[in-house]
Amino acid sequence: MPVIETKELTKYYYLGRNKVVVGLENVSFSVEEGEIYGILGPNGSGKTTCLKLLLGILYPTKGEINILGKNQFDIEMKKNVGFLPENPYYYDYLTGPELLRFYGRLFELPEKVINERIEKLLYLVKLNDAKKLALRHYSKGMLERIGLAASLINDPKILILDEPTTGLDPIGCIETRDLLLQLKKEGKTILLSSHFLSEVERVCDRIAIFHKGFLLTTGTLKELMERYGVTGLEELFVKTIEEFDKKEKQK
Amino acid sequence: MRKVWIIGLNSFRESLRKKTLYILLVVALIVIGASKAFSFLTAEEELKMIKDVSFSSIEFFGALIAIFISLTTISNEIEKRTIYTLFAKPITRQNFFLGKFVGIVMILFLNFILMTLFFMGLLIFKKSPPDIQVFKTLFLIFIELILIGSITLTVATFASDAFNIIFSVFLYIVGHLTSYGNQLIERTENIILKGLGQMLYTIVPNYENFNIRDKVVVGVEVSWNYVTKTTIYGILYILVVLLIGSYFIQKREI
Amino acid sequence: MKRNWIRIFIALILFIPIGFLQVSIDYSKKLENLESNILLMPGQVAGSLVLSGFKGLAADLLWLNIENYWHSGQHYKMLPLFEAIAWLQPNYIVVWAVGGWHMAYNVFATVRSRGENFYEEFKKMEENIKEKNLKEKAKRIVEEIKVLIEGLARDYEKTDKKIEEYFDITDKCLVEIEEFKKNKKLYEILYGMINVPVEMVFWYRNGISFLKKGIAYNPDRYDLYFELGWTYYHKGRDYPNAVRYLEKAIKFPHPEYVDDVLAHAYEKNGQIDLAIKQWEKLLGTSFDSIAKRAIETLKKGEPFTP
Repeated sequence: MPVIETKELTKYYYLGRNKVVVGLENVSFSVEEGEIYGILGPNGSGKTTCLKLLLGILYPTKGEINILGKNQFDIEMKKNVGFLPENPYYYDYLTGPELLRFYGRLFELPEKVINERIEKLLYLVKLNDAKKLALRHYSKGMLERIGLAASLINDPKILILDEPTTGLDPIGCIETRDLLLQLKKEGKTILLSSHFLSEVERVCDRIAIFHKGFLLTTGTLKELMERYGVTGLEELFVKTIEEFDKKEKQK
Repeated sequence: MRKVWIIGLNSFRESLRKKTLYILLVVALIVIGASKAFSFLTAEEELKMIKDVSFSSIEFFGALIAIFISLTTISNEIEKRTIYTLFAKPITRQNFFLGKFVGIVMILFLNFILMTLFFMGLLIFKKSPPDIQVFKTLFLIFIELILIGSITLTVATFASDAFNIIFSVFLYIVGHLTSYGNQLIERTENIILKGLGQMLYTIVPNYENFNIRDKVVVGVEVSWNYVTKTTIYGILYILVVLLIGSYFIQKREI
Repeated sequence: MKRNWIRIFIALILFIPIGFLQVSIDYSKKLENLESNILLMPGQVAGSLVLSGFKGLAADLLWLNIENYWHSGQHYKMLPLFEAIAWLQPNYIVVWAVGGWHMAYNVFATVRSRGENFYEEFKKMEENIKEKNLKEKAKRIVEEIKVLIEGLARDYEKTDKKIEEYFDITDKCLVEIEEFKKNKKLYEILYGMINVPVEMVFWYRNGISFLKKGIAYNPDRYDLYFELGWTYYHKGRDYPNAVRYLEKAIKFPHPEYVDDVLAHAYEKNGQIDLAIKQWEKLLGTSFDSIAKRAIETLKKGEPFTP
């Protein structure tokens, strides 16, 4: 049962004088319950656009989105979604717990639950020593971690993460990876975008490769490697993109 | 509705941490306090001086604060990308926009109260406790400040900061001059000019409606009828502005 | 979301009631005298527009300057400031009253002291005039003018003449001193002295017109009608006008002294019956004993007002 589904999702940006930029073109994919799905692609390939469309931040030009059976604007559905944006900054005058409390309240969670979860999450992301510190004093890695905690405050069924390991040191990456696998064990579905191939390789069940707004291919790593006759993700990545560019040139 | 309040409170807290706000507030208080320095005038003149300076300061600095706070409240969210996290939450964009408005009202109210209390203190010290006319004046100033803030907030939903600040200051000046413009237009014979002028006069917010200061300080009594009408005008106009803002915030792609 | 355009639609519709409200507010403004009428003050529109929100403040700052000038004796410099303040805050009665008073009384006094200086100078020169005729003539003119000046300046007349009659005298004198042109210094002194009452009258008239302007802006209170009536009565000895304006003043809520002055003015204007009636109004007030005496005196046909 797919928890996330897109059908012919398209996004064009109209920039005056008949100039059109393709954000996404006819993208259809689905994410099954309990899997970790990774979206890969070079910068500008449409990964972030895709995620923003899923969250209702951008409006699609064409196509459909289905999350837990509802469209992307459904308020009730959003109670089950957690989001971690790329390079998060947050409200720098708040402390970690204050930030979590703010978001928790927006989910209309009872105070008791919020308090419990704040404790648990801060411990989980290893920020319970920094409880009194304002976010503006956080390092990039710390921001990423508090962001992750914030995305989990509502104990969501679905987690959407945009470049979750950018700016993390190797240890941070490992910890994040372990955390994601842990969350998967708890039954959560995770959709993440990244351009760190090694991370994706180790964590994702299935992947999708984006390029210039198009979804080039999707499937498990094994399937894809067989299909394209490559032995590593990097090769796969390069090959799919080359093929696409060739086809484009021919047109 | 609760979510609107939560966002508003958050906005309010954010504004409290802005240093510029305190500078403006302190300058305002200094100016109001300085009005007491003219003790070589007669008692009546000094009182008038205090009232003039205080009313003008509360309005002027209040307007500056309103514009400043409203200007950055939405653009900060966009810059800091916190707006993405908010829109991913189970809140509507309208919740967000109204929440911002509520936050502005709260901070304006706080500043307004501080300046007003200080002013009241001066009056009481001068043995001339504020009468109902003073309260009416202050009330109308407060409505005016909310209107100014809501306009800047709405413009922030679709324009850049640079445009917004120029527009807001420009509108502040024009809004004070519009009644004079109307008086001139009334005398013209040209129907087209008259019609155009009438339209403009209605559309541009008339801040002078809220200005009963220079009459109250010389003892002219203002009726409740007038205060009520002007308050309704203010509320309707704020409503119009917020509707426009909510339209743009809904449409907006970030 | 598809209904987003409804928001704009409603917003535009709301401009209709806003428009009506604005009309209603403007009407209320006129009614309650809250309006600042730009057309009553043509030439200085630009300045007014700039100060729009801060008229009261500007008025106060100008007022400070007036205080300065007054205390440092620079009376003439005060005058344009009075105009400016009155124009900024036309409902500030004090400005009109004090301004009018300054012009009609105080500046007056400054000019008068100049007259005294001229007189002193003449006295010094007197012995040096050789021809007896001329000396006599000059002396006469100087004394005549002196009387005018003192008459204008003092509360109680040395002369009974109305102010308007002064110009006849001064014009005549100006013609007469033509003969003295040979003696430059003497001519200057005489010329200067003759112009003193001219200027005094000029300021008296300025004060009057200033007060009249004030009345135009504040027609619904007693204050400036009284000020004008009093100035006519006391300075100008122009009793018909005094009565005219004091009668207007009593139409509005007013303190008792207004009635008192009107009673005196009626008498001076020859309207004895009205004077008696006016005094009767003051019986039982704080002016009671004066009123009783006045009625008694007037009924006997004797003058009460000195």
